[in-house]
Formats: sequence, structure tokens, C-alpha cells
Amino acid sequence: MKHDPDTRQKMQVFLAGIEGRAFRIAQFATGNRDEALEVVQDAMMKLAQNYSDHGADEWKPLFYSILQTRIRDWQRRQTVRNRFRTWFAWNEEDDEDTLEQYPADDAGEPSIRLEHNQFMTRLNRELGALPYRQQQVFLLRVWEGLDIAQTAEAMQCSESSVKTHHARALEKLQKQLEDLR
Amino acid sequence: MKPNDEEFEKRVRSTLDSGIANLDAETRSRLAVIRHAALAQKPFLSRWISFDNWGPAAALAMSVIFALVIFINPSFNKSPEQLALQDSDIVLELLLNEEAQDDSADPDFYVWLDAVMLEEEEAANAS
Repeated sequence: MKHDPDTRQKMQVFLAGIEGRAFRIAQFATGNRDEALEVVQDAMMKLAQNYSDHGADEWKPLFYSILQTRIRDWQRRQTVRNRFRTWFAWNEEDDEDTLEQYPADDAGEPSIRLEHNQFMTRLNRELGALPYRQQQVFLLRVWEGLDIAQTAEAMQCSESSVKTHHARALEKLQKQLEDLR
Repeated sequence: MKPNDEEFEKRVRSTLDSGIANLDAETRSRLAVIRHAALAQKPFLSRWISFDNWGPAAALAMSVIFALVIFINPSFNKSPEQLALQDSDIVLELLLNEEAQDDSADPDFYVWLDAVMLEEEEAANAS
């Protein structure tokens, strides 16, 4: 991390502001809290170490590019691990922690709260069920607010693919959550 | 994008945001630890240049050079007596060579010597 106190302070604010969303985005991709934390750690370390001298406005797209690279690395390792798991018939059902377990919001009127919590539970489930690219493009575009070019850079795909993935994810989610609208 | 789509995405955003607000304490704590660790790192260049990286390599290189000087230098294994003897041989050889060089450098000396010896011999015969 650069020793300039101003940059350090800016980086601190940036990371504190982004860490929760980054964690959840990684968790949607990995389906596991510990794996998600590890991915976020790698991304934060690399950003602070190698890109702190870049402008603060560049940090967000850079961070998500790194995060997506780490997620893809994790997926490759997971693929190899799954092959071994199949060969040796490991039983590691307890490895997965489902996104639906995440605590619901306790604030507000009971009826509104119930509706909100139902929507949250279903949304988490349906987001987790989306294909990886659709899921990540949707989260980066809709939740993180990256533009099409930044999302394409992070996902290492074309801008037209970003548009397609976004549209398909949106359509599926709307369809699956139709009854809660 | 349709108005319905925008409304839906807004709801998704707000729901996901409230999920962040309700993250459990352990996850929050671990994220804070990760953030502090990331901020505590040295920048890449200073890590690369630092003694931690180059110190051991420099020490190893110096050791190798020192070992080469000790084991490859031919005079390093000789005892002081051997070195002194070697030096005296060299001095003797130089002295002998110097005399030889004088011989070849001044042949008139022998012509003069022959002449002197001839004169002395004639003087002795005459007496």
C-alpha cells in the first residue's frame, strides 16, 4: 500500500464501502462464505498492492476485474477438485452454505417485513441458480452500477455479450419472482 | 429498458443492500481484518527492491565469489615456505638472465679482455 496518508485514507474508505457487496458477489459465484472471503481477500490485496497509485475513480472497475479473475481461478480449481471428489466419492455435503441462510431484514411492519424477507430469500435462491456469467453481469450492472464497458472488461467478454447476459438474467429473475411482484 | 424492468432492478438493489446491512458479525469482522491487512501491505515496487528480497541473494552471491577466489586461485593452497622457495627461484633466474643479457649486450668486453690478456702474455714472454 502506498505510504501517502491521503491515498491510504481514500483506499480505506473505498474498500470499506465495497467489501460487503464484493463479498456477496463472490458468495453468489462460489456458494460458500469462506471461499468468498478468500476471493475478496486476494482481490483487496492485489488492488492495494499494485493499483493504489492509480486514480481513485479507476479502483472500482479494477477491483471487480481482479475479483472476477479470482473467481474464475477458484472455479478452475473447483473443477479439478470436483473431478477428484468424483473419483474418490468424497462426501462433503456440509461444505456448501446456501445463500438462503442469510439473515432476513427485521426492520419495518410485520407484513411488509414478511414480504420483503420472502422476496430476499427467493431472490438469493434465483440469483444463485443463474448461470455464472448471467449472474455476475447482472450483479455488476444492476447492483454495483458498472457500465457496459467496465462490466465487459471485468468479465473479459464483449459488450454485446454483457447486454445479452444482462437481458437474459433479468428476464429469468422476473419470471421466477413473478408471484412476489 | 421497460419501466417495469427499472422498477424490478430497483427492488433487487434495495433487497441486496439490506442483505449487506444484515451481514453477521463474524463475516463483518473478517472483512475488516482483510481490509486492514490489504492496507498494511508495502507497495509492490518497494517490496521488490527491499533488502528482504535481495539481501539473501546478495549474501549468496558474495559467498560464491569468495569460494571461487579461495578454491580457484592456484597460489592460495601453497604454504609460505613453498611460496618463498618459488620466489627465490624466480629471483635467481632473473639474475642469471640479467648476466646473460649483459654478455650478449657487450661483446667488445671480450675483445678488450683478449687484448689485455695478449699484452700481459707478450710482456711476460719478453721478460
